[in-house]
This record gives sequence, C-alpha cells and structure tokens, in this order.
Amino acid sequence: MDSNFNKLRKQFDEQPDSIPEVLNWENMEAGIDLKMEALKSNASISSKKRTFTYLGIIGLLLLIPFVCTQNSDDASMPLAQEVVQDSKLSVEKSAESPYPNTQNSNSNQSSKENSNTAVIESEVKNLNGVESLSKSSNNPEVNTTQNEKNEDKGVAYKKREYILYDKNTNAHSSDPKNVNQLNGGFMSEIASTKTDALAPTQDEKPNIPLRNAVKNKNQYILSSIESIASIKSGFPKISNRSIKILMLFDQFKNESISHPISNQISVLGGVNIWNMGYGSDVPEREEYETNLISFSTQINYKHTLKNKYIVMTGLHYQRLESRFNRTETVTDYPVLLTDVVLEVQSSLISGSSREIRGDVTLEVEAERIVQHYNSIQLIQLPFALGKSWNFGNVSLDMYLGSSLNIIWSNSGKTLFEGEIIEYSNDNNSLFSNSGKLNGLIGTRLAIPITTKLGITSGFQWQRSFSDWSKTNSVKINPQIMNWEFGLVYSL
Amino acid sequence: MISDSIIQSIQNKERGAFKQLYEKCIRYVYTITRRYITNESEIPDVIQEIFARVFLSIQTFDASKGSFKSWIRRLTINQCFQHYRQGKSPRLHVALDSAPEIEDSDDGLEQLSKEDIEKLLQQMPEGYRQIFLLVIIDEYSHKEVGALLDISPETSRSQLSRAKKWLRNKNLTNTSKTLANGL
Repeated sequence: MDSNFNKLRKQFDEQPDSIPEVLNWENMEAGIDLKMEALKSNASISSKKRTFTYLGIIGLLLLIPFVCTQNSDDASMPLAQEVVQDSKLSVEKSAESPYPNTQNSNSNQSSKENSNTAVIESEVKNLNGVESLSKSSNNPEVNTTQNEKNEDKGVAYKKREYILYDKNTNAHSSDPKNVNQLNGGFMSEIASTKTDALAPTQDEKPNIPLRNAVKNKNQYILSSIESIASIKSGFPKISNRSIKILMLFDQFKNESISHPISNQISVLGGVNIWNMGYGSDVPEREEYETNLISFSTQINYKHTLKNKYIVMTGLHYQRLESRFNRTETVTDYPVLLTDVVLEVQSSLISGSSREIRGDVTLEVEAERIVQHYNSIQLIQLPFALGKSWNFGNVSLDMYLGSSLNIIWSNSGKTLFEGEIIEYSNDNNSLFSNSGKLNGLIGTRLAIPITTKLGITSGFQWQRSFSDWSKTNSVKINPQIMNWEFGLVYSL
Repeated sequence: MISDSIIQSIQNKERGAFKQLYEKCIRYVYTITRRYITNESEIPDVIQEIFARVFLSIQTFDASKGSFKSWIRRLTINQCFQHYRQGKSPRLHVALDSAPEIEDSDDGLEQLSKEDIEKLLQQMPEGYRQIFLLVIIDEYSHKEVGALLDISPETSRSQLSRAKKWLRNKNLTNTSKTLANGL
C-alpha cells in the first residue's frame, strides 16, 4: 500500500539538527510535571468511576432476580409457609404414631359430649419447633374455623385457624388479657384440634387471624396447625391409605420447596457471537475479516453452598470462525499468450504470405480474490462464583468469574503489513491466545423434568483480560457471547 | 533508540532518566508534532502532554511487540488529534464528499521532493492534509484513520484519493507557472 512513497516517508522522518529553544528540557520540565499530575488525578477519577460503574451493574444484575424472588415470595409465602410448617408437624407426628391427633381429637370430642368444658392435654409445639406440654384447665374451648377453601372442603392442605374460646366467659383468646387468663401466658401451638361441631358459629364469634397475633405478641396462646388428625376429623371419610399418600406427597413437596437446588452436572451446546475486541488502533486486516456465528459446547459442575451461593467449574470448548475476503486490483499481472501471430510476411513477387508465430507475455490489470475461513479453537477452564434463586421449580443462577484458555488451535489467512499471510499455532506473528485469562459473567435457567434430570439454557459473556496482540500498535481483547442449551443432572 | 535501563529507570521515577529520554526523543517527537500541529505556539503544550503520557505509560511498552520508535510515534500522533478533540486547536474541518473518488493514481507524486510536498501541504485543505499525512507518511490504514478521525474507512480512502488529485493538479499549475515565468 502506497509503497511508492517510501522515499518521501524517509524524508519526512528526517529530524532537524536543532529544535526551538523553548523545547529544551529546562523549559519543559515544569510543564511536563504539571501535566503528569493532572493525568494521574484524571486517571484515578476515571478508574474509580469505572469501578463503581462495574460494581453498580453487577449489583443491579444480582439485585433484579432477588427483588423478583421477593415479590414472588410475597405472593406465595402465606400458603407455602403454612404448608411447610403444618406438614412438618404432621410428618413428625406420624413418625411416632400414625394418627395421634385423631385420637386426641376424638377424645376431646367425647369429653365435650360429657361436659360443657373441654380439657386439652396434648403434646404441643411452638412455631420454632420447641416441644412442651400444655395443659389448660380454664375450660377453654377450641373454636375451629377454616378459610374459604376448607369450607368448600376442596383441599385438605389449606390452613386452619383455631381460636381458644372460653365458653363460660365468652372470652376470646385473641384478646391478650383473655389469653393470659386462659393459659397463664404460656406460649405454644396446640397440636390438637376440635371439630367444628364443638365451636360456636362464626356469626357468634368472629375469626381473627391468630398467626398475625403470634408475630405481634409471642406470649399468647395461639394455634394454627394443620395435622392429619384434623384432616381426618374434618373429613372422616378419608381412609388411612389416602392420608398416607397425602403425607408422602406433602413430604415430597416440602423437600422440593426446601431443597430445590442441588449440586449439578450440566452439558450444554449452542452458538456464540464474537469479535476480536480491537482497541482504538484497528489493524488493516480488520477490514477484510468478518466474524461468523460459531459453535460452543461445555460440560460443567455446579456446587451449591450455604444460602444458595454457587461455585461453577468445568470445561468449555469455543470455536470462533471468521471469513477472510480480500479483493485487490493487480495492474501488472503477467499473462502468457502462446502461438500468437507476431508478423505476417508477404512476397510481392509470388503474392504468398507467411505468418511468424510465437509466445508473448503481457501485463494486464487483474482482480485477485482471496477467500479463506479462519478458525480459532479454544478449550477453556472456567471458574465462577454466583448465586441461585428459585422461582417455583425453575432455578435461576447468576455467576461471575474467569476462564483460562488451556488448549488452543489457530489457523487462517489475513493481511499483515500489506501482505496476505497464513498463520497457525506454530507460525503466528499476529496474536497469541495461549494461557490467556478471560473474565466471564453469565446467567442460567434450569427446569426439572424428573427429580434428577432437567433442561437448562444459559447466556454467558466473556472478555479477555489479557492482550492477545503481538504488535504494539494493536490491542486484541476478544469478546465472546454464548447462548447455550442443554441437560442438567442433579447429584 | 532507547535502552531497557532507561525505561527501567523511568519506571523507578528517576529524574535523570526522564531528562535522558526527553533529550533522546524530542527531535523525533517534534518532527512528527509539527506535521500535525500547524500553529507553532501550540507545539510546546502538545509536546508536554506527549511526554507526560510517555513517562506515565512507559510500563505498557512491550519491546517484543514492536520498537520504541513506533510506539512513541503512535502516541504522538494520537495526542496531536487528542489536542484537536479537546478543542485546544480549532477543529479541523474535513471537507468530505460522499461520492467515492475512483481515480487514484500516484503518477508523478512520488517524484516530488520533501520541500515540494511540504510547500504544497501548506496550501492543502486541512482535511486532505491530515489524511494524506496519516496514510502516506505515517502508514496508517484507512480503518485506523477512520477510528482516529471518526469517519468511515471508505471516506478516508476517498479523501486520500482527492488529496492526491489535488496535489497533482496543484503541482501541474505550479510547474506551468514556473515555465511561464521562465519564458
């Protein structure tokens, strides 16, 4: 390119014998020092700005799913918590005796038939799971109420609320004073129930959400328990076998809610979009290179830590392809013409003519087209830390880390210093990706199909921390965006 | 041009090394700077900025990637254009024509001497001059010129073609005038 001007370039680069006096070191030193100080402070400010920007973006990314989870939890929490707490108790109870509370309830029911006072003596649990024994002798009566769904008798796993009710005094247990009277301030959650038949009608005594009262005043007797006994007493026709099935289902459901994330191995494959990440000094070859959508695959392992923090590692294969396409006009392309008539000799006497033939080389204008598919193949070792969130059965992971190029293979054609050159692993004067480190950030969704197997999809962005370039004038920090699908197996 | 020991000394912030490097490089830096900064009074300020950057970023220089001379050349040119961008010098107007210039021949131009070219460059429109200097003298690619001047590589190519045409026409006119004066 413009090699005709080499002589001119040399002339322009000729340095003057002397420089203006104002440019002497003594005159410039102070000014340079001032500029250095200014640059240092600017660099420091811009570095801080950059750091805060990155931290802000990362914080926002991490916060968005958290906020979403919170909103999601807010909507589903009352039911979910109740199911978990209630069923825990059911399961624990059932471990000792299949239906202890059924007996209890029945006995309470029978005692109720004999007397207007009800004595409740049973094993109790408070909400934190501390066991104690509660004996109330102030003739309280358990007022059992149900929410709308239970009234419809549709689902047995909805919450029931029990209000202690003093039949004689009509004192309502939701009143703090009355509650203290009822059991002397002993805080517990009664793991027994009474049937609706024992309680006054709702018209007579309004229901009060006692769970809220628990949160506000810990010293009041409150009960809000769903137990197998209550199911049985509420729905006497349900058989023992049905209850067992319900218990197993409940247990499974609880486990899936409590432990939706586990250690996982996943295999993914997909496409990537990439670029060489040239800095401000773009090499000439970039004009002729087109990056192509390429292929990537990975296998990785996710380990779940406390509070759903995760560690990820594995192996990642990246294939980065580009097409080199250069067309140039060559003005002096030699063409050999063979057997060309060079001269025709005619005899004036005989009138005969003779052709003299030969080969001729001509320089013609030609178009040179060079097309080649270049490829960079990398096997990377990623390592990332992140956090996992759960939206029902779907888990969302977000992670941040780095990956190291451990194996690489490069081959291609490109333009370098005006010449088309070929490069490979052994002969590459342009760049080197051996052992280079990349920063990565990614997110992944996983949806279970069975208890062990699920499908997953993820998006990942990588940028090389290290400069691949071997030339001073060019910086190469490639960026790769992966979009992958695959399978995940829970260990 | 510069020994490793000087670079090491600058990294260690030795004042003597600063002076040594400055005195070794100033003439080269001045040669490049005055090509791009036409206002002589602005040159000391630009050169101070250049050396401040050299001293601060010399640790980024990697000898295995190229010579110190080409590194400082790039830095100098970038700083000259940074000077324009900061508005310290009136922004050069690049007279851009959207239509591509097809004719592009170097006929006769390579025969011109430095003095001839310099005289012609003084009269050349700034936009043409910058691209001519960057591509022809400093061997920037059109892509690099595009990035530096915030124009497309095609525009850079087209402008260079026009700059060469302008030089040829101007040279012919001057030659004709000389001949006419001689006659």
